[in-house]
Amino acid sequence: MMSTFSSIFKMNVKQQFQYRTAAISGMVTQFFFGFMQIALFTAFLSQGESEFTVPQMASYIWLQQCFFTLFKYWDTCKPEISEKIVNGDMAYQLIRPMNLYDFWFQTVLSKSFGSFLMRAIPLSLVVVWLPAGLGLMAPVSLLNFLLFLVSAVIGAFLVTAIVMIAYIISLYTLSPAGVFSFLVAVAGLLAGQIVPLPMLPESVQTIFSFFPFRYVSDLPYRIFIGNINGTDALVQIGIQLAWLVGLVLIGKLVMNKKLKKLVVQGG
Amino acid sequence: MITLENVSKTYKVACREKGLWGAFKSLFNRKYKTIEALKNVTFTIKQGEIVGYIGPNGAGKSTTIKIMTGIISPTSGNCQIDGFNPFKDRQKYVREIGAVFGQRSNLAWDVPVIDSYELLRDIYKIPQSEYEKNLKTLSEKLDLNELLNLPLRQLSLGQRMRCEIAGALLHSPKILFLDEPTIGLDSISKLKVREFIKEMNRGTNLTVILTTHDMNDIDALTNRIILIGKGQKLYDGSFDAIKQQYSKSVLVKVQMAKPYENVQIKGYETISVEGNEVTLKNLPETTFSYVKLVQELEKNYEIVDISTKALELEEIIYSLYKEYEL
Repeated sequence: MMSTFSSIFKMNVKQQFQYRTAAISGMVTQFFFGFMQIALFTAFLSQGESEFTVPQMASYIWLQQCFFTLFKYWDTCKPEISEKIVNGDMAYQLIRPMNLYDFWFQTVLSKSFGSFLMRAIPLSLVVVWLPAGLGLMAPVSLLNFLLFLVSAVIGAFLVTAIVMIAYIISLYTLSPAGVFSFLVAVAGLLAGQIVPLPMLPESVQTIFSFFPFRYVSDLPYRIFIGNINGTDALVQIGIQLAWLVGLVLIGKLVMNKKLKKLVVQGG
Repeated sequence: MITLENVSKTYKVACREKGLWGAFKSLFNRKYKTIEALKNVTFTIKQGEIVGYIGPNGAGKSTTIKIMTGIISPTSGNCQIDGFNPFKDRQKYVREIGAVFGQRSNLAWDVPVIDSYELLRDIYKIPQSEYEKNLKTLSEKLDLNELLNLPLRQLSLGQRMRCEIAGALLHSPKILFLDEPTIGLDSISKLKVREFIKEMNRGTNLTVILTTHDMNDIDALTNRIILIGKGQKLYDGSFDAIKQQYSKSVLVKVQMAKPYENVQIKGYETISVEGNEVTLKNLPETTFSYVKLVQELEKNYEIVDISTKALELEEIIYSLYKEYEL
């Protein structure tokens, strides 16, 4: 199991590294967007009293930019797997001795992690040197940092489970376009990837907490910047885990059911 | 080794009316049509055999291959291969088989071929020593040494096909399914692929099931063909027998002294009349004979020259398809 995963992982990281130019130009865009958002949200925050400080907000934004390709994978992913469904290359995956859900899950996770590595490391090395309020600050405590790591790892699995559900839906619709554009629009907002959730009214935040999306990225960022701490952080990591287990089980169940009635397209 | 008993497969397809209005209507009220892709197909294949599975496009070849590789389940009937039910025991069963689908790719597009092979090694959990041994043999026989470190996208179609075939054999399968392995290849690559398949079959007693539209593939590789058309098995047996049966058919070109409108000869079918040149073919019950034909012709026509041509392989298959009304 582990060696299969590690070689799927290596294969996909290698593939990601083929796209160096895309990564570099992507990073430039991310710098630009990061600064824009920070400037904009600083103006908002200076208007009223808020627990969410400007340095916290700036760190939230830079974390967002660092984890862009990982936690926003529904937006950045290529429809590769869906193409395989439509053009019939899936036939090859079905004649390999492996569970298709597991294989896709590992593929998606490796791809998103590969492009994350390539972008996050150089980006974070730059933004940590910027002054507070403009750059990425250090985590508030060692405990918060460790909890952040735990919830970021679960977040990476959770976003994969969500993307898997979208792929499985496209097994039914045979076209990934609709599913993914819906996901990008809704999930981005609910996850706090458009406006950081701490800047939204309490009531809205409560509603958003009923969906899995904010547990992908909002939770780890807020633990990092000290906006969610201690027991509260642990409880929320628990909810995050529950979502992960639930979505993986649903995904596996639906996929196995669909594969029983599968028609592989083409010749 | 391979047994199919009364295997049938039906698909339900949504049929839409034409035009924009039809497309709009089908959003609300979708009509389904049932298509019988396979009807009661039965055959057995022994270990070490090479079998050509032929038929025109849409005959059900790929559906049969998909059932035999465990990708889809038959609607009814029984498929047993090497003691497995391919669909139900898919994950265990597929270790025993390799497959090459001529129009698809099993290897990753942007990374060197060897990386794809290593991924396959880990997916199939091939022991390192066996992997190295197989890779060495395969790359010698298929001439891959210079290709392994190139990304797949830089290879020509023929080189790619050789890499695909090697990839399907790395885990030492007992059965190899080849779905149009020579499609689009030039003649040298075709020869190489054929030679290799024959060698593997002799050397390791590999069972090979091959679909193709190129009858030279069949001629070079096997004597047993299964002909399928409109989802039904039409013929199962020796390819030579078919060739013999049809090679009794002879095309005769007759040069007439002047153009004739209507040429009719007893025992012969008129294929074409072009100016002074008339092409005839003997009917199945007529045995071709020069003397008799000339006698018959001279009764009514003035002839200058006469030449004959035996049916070629492709024409035999064409006549075969025609006979079964495919």
